[in-house]
Order: sequence, then C-alpha cells, then structure tokens
Amino acid sequence: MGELIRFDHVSYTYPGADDPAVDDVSLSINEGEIVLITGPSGAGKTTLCSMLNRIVPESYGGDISGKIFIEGADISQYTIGQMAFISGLLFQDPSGQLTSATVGDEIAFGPENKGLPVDKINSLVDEYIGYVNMQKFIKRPPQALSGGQQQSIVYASVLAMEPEIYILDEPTSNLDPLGSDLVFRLMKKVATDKKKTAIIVEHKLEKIIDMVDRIIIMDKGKIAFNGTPKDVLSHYKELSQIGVEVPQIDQVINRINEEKGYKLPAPITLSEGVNELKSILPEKLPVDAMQAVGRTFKEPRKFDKPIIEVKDLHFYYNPEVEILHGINMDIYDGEFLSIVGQNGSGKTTIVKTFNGLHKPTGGSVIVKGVDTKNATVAKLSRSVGYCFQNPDHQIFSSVVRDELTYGPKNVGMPQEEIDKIVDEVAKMIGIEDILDENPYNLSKGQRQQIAVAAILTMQPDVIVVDEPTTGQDPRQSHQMMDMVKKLNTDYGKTIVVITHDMSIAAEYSDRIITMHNGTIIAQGTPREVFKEEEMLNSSNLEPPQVTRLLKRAGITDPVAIDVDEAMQLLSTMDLKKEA
Amino acid sequence: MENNKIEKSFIYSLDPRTKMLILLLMIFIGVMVMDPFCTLIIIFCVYLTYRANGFSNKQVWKTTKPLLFAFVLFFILNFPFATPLPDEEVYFKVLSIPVTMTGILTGLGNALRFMMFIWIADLITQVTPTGDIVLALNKAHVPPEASIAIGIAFSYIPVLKKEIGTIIEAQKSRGANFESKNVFKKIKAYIPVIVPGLFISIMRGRDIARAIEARGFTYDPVNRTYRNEIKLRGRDFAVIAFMLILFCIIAYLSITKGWFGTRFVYTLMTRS
Repeated sequence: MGELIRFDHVSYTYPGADDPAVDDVSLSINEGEIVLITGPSGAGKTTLCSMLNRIVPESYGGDISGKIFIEGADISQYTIGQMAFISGLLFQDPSGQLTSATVGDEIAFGPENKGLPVDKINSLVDEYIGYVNMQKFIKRPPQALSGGQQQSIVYASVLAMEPEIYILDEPTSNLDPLGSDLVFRLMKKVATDKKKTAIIVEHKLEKIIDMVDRIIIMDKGKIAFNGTPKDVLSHYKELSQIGVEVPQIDQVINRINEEKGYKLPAPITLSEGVNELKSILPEKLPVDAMQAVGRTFKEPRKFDKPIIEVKDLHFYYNPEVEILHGINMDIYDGEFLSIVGQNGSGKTTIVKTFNGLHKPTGGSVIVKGVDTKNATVAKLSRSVGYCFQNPDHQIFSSVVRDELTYGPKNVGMPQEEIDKIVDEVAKMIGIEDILDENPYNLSKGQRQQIAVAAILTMQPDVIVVDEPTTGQDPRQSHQMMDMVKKLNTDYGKTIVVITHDMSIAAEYSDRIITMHNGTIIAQGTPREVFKEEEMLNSSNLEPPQVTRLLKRAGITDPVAIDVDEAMQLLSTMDLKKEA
Repeated sequence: MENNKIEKSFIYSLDPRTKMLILLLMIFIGVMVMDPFCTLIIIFCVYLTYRANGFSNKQVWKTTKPLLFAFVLFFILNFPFATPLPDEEVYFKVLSIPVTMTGILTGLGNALRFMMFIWIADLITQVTPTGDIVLALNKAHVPPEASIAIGIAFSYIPVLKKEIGTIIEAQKSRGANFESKNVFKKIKAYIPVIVPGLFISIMRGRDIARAIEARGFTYDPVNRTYRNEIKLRGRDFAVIAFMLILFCIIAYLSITKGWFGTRFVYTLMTRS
C-alpha cells in the first residue's frame, strides 16, 4: 500500500495567536491505514485534521507554511468543497452537524452537494443507512434521536460521500459507553469492508486501541510519538507526563516490566493483557498475603446521617411513560456519591428531584427534613446546588464577580454577606485572580470552575455535578474531579456526581449507585459494585479495565479497583520469569 | 400515532406551493371578511379541515388554548375604537367609553379573525415538512444558500427550545424567579436566559457552518441535486382552482356589493 497523505514541514498559526497550533509537522500516512491521533487538549490534533479538508486555513485564515499532499497532489490548489469529497470529516458533537429535516435527507445532503443523479443518491442513502442499521428511522427528524443514534446518522452521511479518507474527531466524547461502542464498531466495519484510510482523534484509548494500526501522540503542536500501538504504549511514563493516559492493562504490564526488569510487550486487548499476566503468575496464589494486602486497601468512609431521603419516588412527564419507578435511597451528609448508568437510565431525572426542578409524581424526596413538594426551587437551591454539564448554559455576566453574586442576590442575601462569600468561594476554587475578567474570554475549564463557584456562593450543603468530565482530556478530568473532591474533604460538602466514567467513579467515590431503566440495580462501595460485573453489563456498563484484568487472570478476592491496588496485590506474589 | 394520521392526510400530500397559496388566499379572505358571524363560519371550516386531516381535538385545543387570552385582549382593545353609527343606541358606558353594537361586532370580528389567522398558519405549517419548504423556495429561484439556511433554521427550533429549557433550569437552580407579574421585572429576570441562549445559538451556528462545509456544500451550490422533487398534481390544481374561485366570489361580493362588512349579518337579521 502506497503513501496517501504526506505533511511536509507543516506549521500553522491561528490569526491573533502567538504560538503555532501545528509546529513543523512532517508525517506520512499510507493507504488503508487506521491511525489514532491523541494528546492533551490544545495539542493541535483537531487543527491537523482540519487541514486535511482545508477548513484550516480556508475558513479561519492564519499563517500556514509547508505543504500537504494527498495522492501526490498538493492540496493547497483545492477548495473546501472539493476536499470534502476526498477527506470526510466527522466532528465531536453530533447535534451540531445535523442539517436536514429527515434522516434520509441528512444522509443525502453530501451526495446532493456533489450534484450526483437522484438514482445514485438514493442508492447511496439505502446502502449507508443499512450500514448503520437505522432504516426504520429514515423519515424521522434526526434532531429527535439519541446522541449515539445521531452520531451514527452523521457517520452514515460522511460515508455516503465516499471519501478516500475518513477523519473522526473525538466522535464519542459526547456519548455514553453504549453510544461510543456503536460508533467504534461502525468505524471498524468501514475500515475492514471498504479498505479506506481512517484517522481518529480520541482520548479514550482503551476502547479503540485494538482497532488501529498506528498511534500518533501530539503535544504542543508537535508529534511526540509515532509508531505501532505496542511501541507507543511502552512509553507509558513519558505519555503520562504529556497528559495521555494509557489503558490500565498497559499501566500494569509496564509497571511490572519496570519493577521486575521484564520486557513484556504492551498489550493491546484485554485478553492479551490477561494472557501476559497469567503467563507470569505463580501456580498457586498467595491467598493469605493477598488478603492481608486487601485489608490495607483504602476503605471508603462510612456515613450514617441522611441529608436527602428518597422514598418510593415515582416520576413521569407523561403518565403513560413513567421514568422513575419507585426509587428508595438515602444520601448521607458528607459523603462522595457517584450515580452511574447509561443515557436514559434516569440519573439526571432523579437528581433534578433533589432541588425541586422535578416534583415527584409519587413518593417523596426529603431534603434536610423538608419535603421538596412543599418548597420552591429557590429555597431548595440553598441546600442542594446543581452544576449543569455545560457551563455555557448558566454564565451570562460580563464580569466573573457578577456571575458569582447572581445566586445569592436571588435568594435575598445581604450585600455584605455576599461580598464575603464571593471572596471565600473564589479562594476555595482558586479563581481569585480572574474575578474581574469577562468569563467569555476565559477557557472552558475556567468557565467550568466559575459555574461551580456560582453554585457554591449559594452555600449549599449538597452539590450535584452532572457529567463533569464529558469531552475533557484525562488531565482536565482529574483537575475538575480534584476540585470537587477538595470541596468534599476540606469543606465538608456532600457531593453527588453523575458520570459514566467508571474509573473516575472508582477513584473518587465513597459509594456508587447504579441505575438502569429508572430503577436502582446496585448500590454500595466501588469495590462491592465492581464485583458484580454481569449486573453492570446488563446496564451497558463495565468495571474499570484493571478490575476485569485481575478477575480474568484469576485474582478475584480481594477486588482491585485501581492500578495501585493491582500492583500491591501483584507485589505479594513471586512472579515467574517472562517466557 | 396521531402524527402518522396527519402524514397520510390529503392536505399533507399537497405540493408546498399549493399550501402556501392556500395560506395567502385565506389571509386575503380574512382581511376582506370583517363580519364576526361569517368569520365564525370560516373558523368552523378550518376546524373541519383540521379534523378531516387527522388532527385530534386535543391537538387543536393545544394550539387554541394560548390564544384565548389574546382573543379577550383583542376584543377589549378593539371595540372602544370602533366608530358607532350616527344615533346608534349606547347600551352603557365603561370608563366613559360607549358600548355599542358596532363596537361589540368590531371587537368580536377582529378577535375571531386573529384566531383564524393563527389557526390557518398553524395548520399549514404542521402539514408542511421543512424539507418541502426548501424545495418550494428553490422553485421560486431563492439561492440555495438562503433556502438551505431557512431549512436548517426550521429544523433547529426544537433543539434551541431544549437548550433554552436547560438554561431556565440552570438559572432556577440558582434561585432565579421567572414568575414576576411586573413586566419590567420579568424582562430583567430573563436576561440570564437570553444571554446564554444567544451565546449557545452562535456557537451552534458556527458548528453547523463548519459541518455543512465539511459535507461539501460549497462544492457547487448552484448545480447541486435535490433528491426530493415537488410536482403539482391533479389534486393541487383542483385545490388551487377551488381556492381561487372562492376568493374571487368573496372579493367580488365584498368590493361591488359591500358584503361581509362588520354589521353584514347583524343588519340582515335585524332587518327581518
């Protein structure tokens, strides 16, 4: 297979920016290759991909140098319109890519733009709607579908343009695990069936690593690593310094290699990892020593004073479709709780009953002794603060300080008290320096901090954080979660986090509640919940990869929920020499 | 299920241009017919059209309910400004405004016409898929850049509605109160909804612009294909002919004979 794409010393700087977004990149990609590009946010991944269909620099302006060739032709002579049929681009947020009134029209949009005859367009629509298995939705408006379904439709729309190169820019960051799997499976199918070249930008390496031929790691506009998955993943330490989190199975194998001086290859799939681990485990596991180590594992804190009591809670918008079916649970003062479950399982619906945005249609929710049926949202907002997923849904002031005072003013706090609280909260979150800035000039991460701070100024005891890590790179996710954790440990706030990231839930929570179809199917400590793998699978969730690795290798008791615990368990064993 | 019925209905199957013509002619008829009793008959016909084309009473009520307040307002605001006939009987006075039959008939006529306009516009938009609007605009030689933009705008109304819903919830969670009776306070309370709403709309607009470029819209917009064709069929010509004849009759009677004025039916009734 010959060379298809070549970047020759390409640099690009956005208008008004000081530093180049892409800095002297030379790169070659062969026909039929599947390449993963990853790296921290702002590393230049999206810019690099957008150059392949000339949206950068055509739509943005800016300075570009160097040359890009596709099939030997310098692409600077083509327009975006022409490039669209050579490099098909799929973006992050599916709902921002829908252009048509029906699913069928959506898929036809690209071929129509090319001016193909109607018969040909209809056959392309039929072929690719079948490909993503969405025939029954052909007349439905795409805006009414779920995120995963929407991304499948947009994917089919790109496929129907039959480009030579498919570029998928974080196609799953807004999707739940089920939606992500759907999109990745489709990508794999296209790559195999159509023998096309694919470039994927993605942070979640674990789900995709076994499908790609090559990994390119970008950092600060440059290529830091470029090689086969096995080569690149063996540099896990350098990668973690850059801010790239390698799959947990690779972290374990790499750490064994380091500690024991072994040269085990970096595993690509879970079964490969399991086989490698099994090959070095002793015949007989040191059960007593493992139990002894297990007893030293961090035990979640125990709490017993309920702050929110949910009793036989039912909720519906439409009496024919009940969403919550008799939920019973308590949230304890001071705990860090994660609620997990796939989209549509009722996670967000249930937390909206805590601050009265939803009133129960049956049963009751008692917050600090007050039945939410008898209290306004404004009153409850002083007990339960709710941080929405996207900070842009709430920020409206031109100065950060005004944003923070909005809530307290609404509930009639005296000005003196407000000033004092704003300063305290700014210190708590670490945003004292930006209090006089315009929030719209700040980064998304800073806006997220402001959104949390704006909730904190209401001085709630419970803070609900809705999917705080969606669409963020691993480093940003940890920064956000560390901030939330600090509010819990240092300031005694009760935290409820909604997430589908199981390793985040494992790392930070005292307790996990798993929801499925409007009911609670499991609750307990992370260790207790992750033990129940089959039950989690029934809700399209799975325990962290490291938990599954050890379980499949035969280490089932105690259950390890993170890489450190796994390493502690393995340290009790006399590992065999590698084969 | 209900929407399924509508999609199979006669009026849904018409060409979008026919539907636009119906809308236009009905507006003209509405302008000419000022008599409340005649307007009532037209409203009843619109109701029958709703029902005959798969709309349930519940759906019709959903459109009508928010209109009731405006209906009353129209009635009250209109009748003081109607000039009574010379020597017309004044029933009583409200705040020194004389209440006369002309006033009542004018208020009633205008309020009913207002309702009729909304009903017709609602009926026609509900039975016209947005894709059809784009095609109709293309036939009218609107440039594809504009027609596609209008089509996208229509499909994004529900998306933006959802976004605004989320923003309202987010601000309510910060103690915001949107229930104030004072209009100025109410407008001020909505600033925290309007600003993020605009910001998000602009961001979405940017995303969509990038997405349609990535899907080759700028390849050759003038010569792009449209997969769906619209064509005037027999039933369209029949409906157009019927509407034109109806319009001509009403226009003729109204202009030459002075029929359908505010007191038209009332005078007929009192004369006998």
